[in-house]
Amino acid sequence: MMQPNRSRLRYLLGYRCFAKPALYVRFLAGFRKPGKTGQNTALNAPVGVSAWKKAGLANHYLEGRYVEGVRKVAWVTSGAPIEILRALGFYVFYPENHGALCGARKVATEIMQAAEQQGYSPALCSYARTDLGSLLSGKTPLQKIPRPDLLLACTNICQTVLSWYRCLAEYLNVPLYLIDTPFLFRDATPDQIDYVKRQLEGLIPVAEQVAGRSLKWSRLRQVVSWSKEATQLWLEVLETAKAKPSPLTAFDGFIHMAPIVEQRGETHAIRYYRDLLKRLQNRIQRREGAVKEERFRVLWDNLPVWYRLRHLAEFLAERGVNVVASTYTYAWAELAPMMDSNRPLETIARTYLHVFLNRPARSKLKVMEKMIHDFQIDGVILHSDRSCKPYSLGQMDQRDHLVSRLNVPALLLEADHNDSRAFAEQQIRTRLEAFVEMMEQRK
Amino acid sequence: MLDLPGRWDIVKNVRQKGKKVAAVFPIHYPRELLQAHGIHPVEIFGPPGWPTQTADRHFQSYTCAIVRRGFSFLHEKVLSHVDLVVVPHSCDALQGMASVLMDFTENGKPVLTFYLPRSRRKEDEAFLVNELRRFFQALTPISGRIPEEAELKKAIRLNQHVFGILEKLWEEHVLTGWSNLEFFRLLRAREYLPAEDFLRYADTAPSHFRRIRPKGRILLSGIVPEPMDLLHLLDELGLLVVADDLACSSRRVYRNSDLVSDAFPCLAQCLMAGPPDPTRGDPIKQRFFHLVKLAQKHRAGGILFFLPKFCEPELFDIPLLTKMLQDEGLATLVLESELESSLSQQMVTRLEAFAELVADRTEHLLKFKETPA
Repeated sequence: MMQPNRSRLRYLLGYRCFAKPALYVRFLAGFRKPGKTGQNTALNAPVGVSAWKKAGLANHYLEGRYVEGVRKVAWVTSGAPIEILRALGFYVFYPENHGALCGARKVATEIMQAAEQQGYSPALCSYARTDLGSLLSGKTPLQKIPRPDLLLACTNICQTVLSWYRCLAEYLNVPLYLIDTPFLFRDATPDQIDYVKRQLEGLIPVAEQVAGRSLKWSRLRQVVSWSKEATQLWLEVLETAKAKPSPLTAFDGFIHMAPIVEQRGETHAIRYYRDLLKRLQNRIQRREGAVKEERFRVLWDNLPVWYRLRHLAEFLAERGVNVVASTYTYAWAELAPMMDSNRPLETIARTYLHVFLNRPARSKLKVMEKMIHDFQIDGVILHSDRSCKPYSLGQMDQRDHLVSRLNVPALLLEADHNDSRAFAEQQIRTRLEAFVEMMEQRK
Repeated sequence: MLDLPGRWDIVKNVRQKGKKVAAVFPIHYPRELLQAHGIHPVEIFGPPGWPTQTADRHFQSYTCAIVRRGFSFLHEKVLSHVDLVVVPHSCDALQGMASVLMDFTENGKPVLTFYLPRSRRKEDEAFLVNELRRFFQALTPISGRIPEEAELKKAIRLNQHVFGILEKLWEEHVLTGWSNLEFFRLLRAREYLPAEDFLRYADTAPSHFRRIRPKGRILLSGIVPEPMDLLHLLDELGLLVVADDLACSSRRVYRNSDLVSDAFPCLAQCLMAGPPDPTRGDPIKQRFFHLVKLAQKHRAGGILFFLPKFCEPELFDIPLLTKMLQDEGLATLVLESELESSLSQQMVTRLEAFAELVADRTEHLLKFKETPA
């Protein structure tokens, strides 16, 4: 590890004075190549945000290259309550998002093989394999990942994260703090909320010790209110897809969800979604859809297939299908009303306990039913994600229910969110085509 | 060969006596609370080779065999003979199964869940006390009664006594070299026998056990040694299992010397005191120390990890754990099974090679221990 003074100097000169301004200049000057979408495809150009906002998102990763030794770094699971860490000034890094980025850049499979060579089974979560592979091989599209001072795992999305972070704790020799969230077969009981709250109380001294500073409650309340605002805006963004034609696709949503996961509790996420919302509303006024000829509106369940995101979006758009909503993006939006900055710990506990994945299959089905109604859905694609069991178990019954009770065409599509070896191209094309035909017959 | 009654003979027997029966899935659950309510727990680990067609209508092929075989078995054979189903939230797969059982299958039997915290801090223990109370209260409509504190304490003491007997059995097994197959059949009878019956068998059966001439000593780790052919093969290869780290066996020995406090805190302390377990979130290093300590105590030359395919909590530990153990001079072998009815030829070959390796290491270890420092 670098000496603190050298790190600080590198951060000030390298990052603050050079790399960060250069990044903003690059984005503002539009030096980045425009995407092909919208030119020769069935998709209109996706609604983006201003170059400034985009740069703000890229800056998060850029800062990560310089932050070691200057700010304390925490690696956290995507459903972890990060508000306490933000209030203490931690730089927060999400291995799952890094995994998704590797997937979207189509390098995940190569990276995860490094983990498999060390004995990690291909049956394990492909985010975890990507992350462990990156740690073991040093390969990452980010050039450099900051080494953590603290690991924070929350079991509200799965038990897998605990197994995964136990490995990280061993490799990196850093403390692992666990927020254990009992699975909610019904609404959370006071005991369950109190249990999570007590763990949050326990996190404070641990994080304070690592951060070398005390938590200011006023700051925590501020961060919680920013989290709430960003979450509400994200919900509004997703709900613009209720318009016909929908101004955005779920595939756009998968990309735009980065700030709500990574920058929740920061003002940048709020600015980003305000800007995006305004642009989407304008698009609605112009009656311009994300898909040029939207004939069918589809709901996506489970994680995206990161390495075929664009391919799937185009393939479906060519057949008049707009995947307007997804349970995955919605999972970060639906709990906004639960947050209350006046009672930060209790509401953090309650909110993070009730996340979509910490509730049973019936509850997920209810969310889907509501979305089918609200978004005027013609069909559902349930991505049966080979290496994400908590999301995928129950899908077969959910599918049967959608087909037999709600009379909605539903397709169970076998793939994996990050492991491209589980994507059977031709088989998936055939199944999607048959699915579109099925919706066609019902029109 | 040890002549034990079958799992379903016991169920029939217990029901004839007017007692209720619970079908219980792995791993950790408060057996004492069921017993205090007069409900007899019968555990479901598979069974090996049971067809999975029923489960295949509900679960994808990448779901572990404990869930797929257990779910099918439950619906095809068990449900009509039991009064409730208990599904501890041991992993994502079992939790998913509980959700499907409660939400999508009309089985007409109550399904109770149980959540054991994933850490062993004070707040986890406090939560566990509440979770035990919730579970206890949920049993009342089924049993039709509220057991007294004394009944609870009696059940706790009875199980502590069983744990003591288990420890003695292990000591004797290591000294005598009983057949692994017969010994584990006895140990696993605890999954379905009433405690009193188990104690009776534990007292009388071992004198009839066949003995093997060990060429090597190993530890057995994993969830469940199914198919039991595995143990028969270990007997033939002369590998004596001198200690285990199995979820169905020693990971559920919750020793607690303090039986003075109230029943629920006391039971919580017992459950919190179990050995390191990946499904409970214990650090990998703790598990490593535990295994090394066992290996050193019993002079084992190797560790056999016998895991169900797709078992995430186990599979995550394997690369680091096996490397650490190998660095300590212990031979390791990892086998993945889908609870088939018999061992594959490939597994047999790998076990034969492992046996040779372990025999060498055990000899080396024995010599090493005998050499004065």
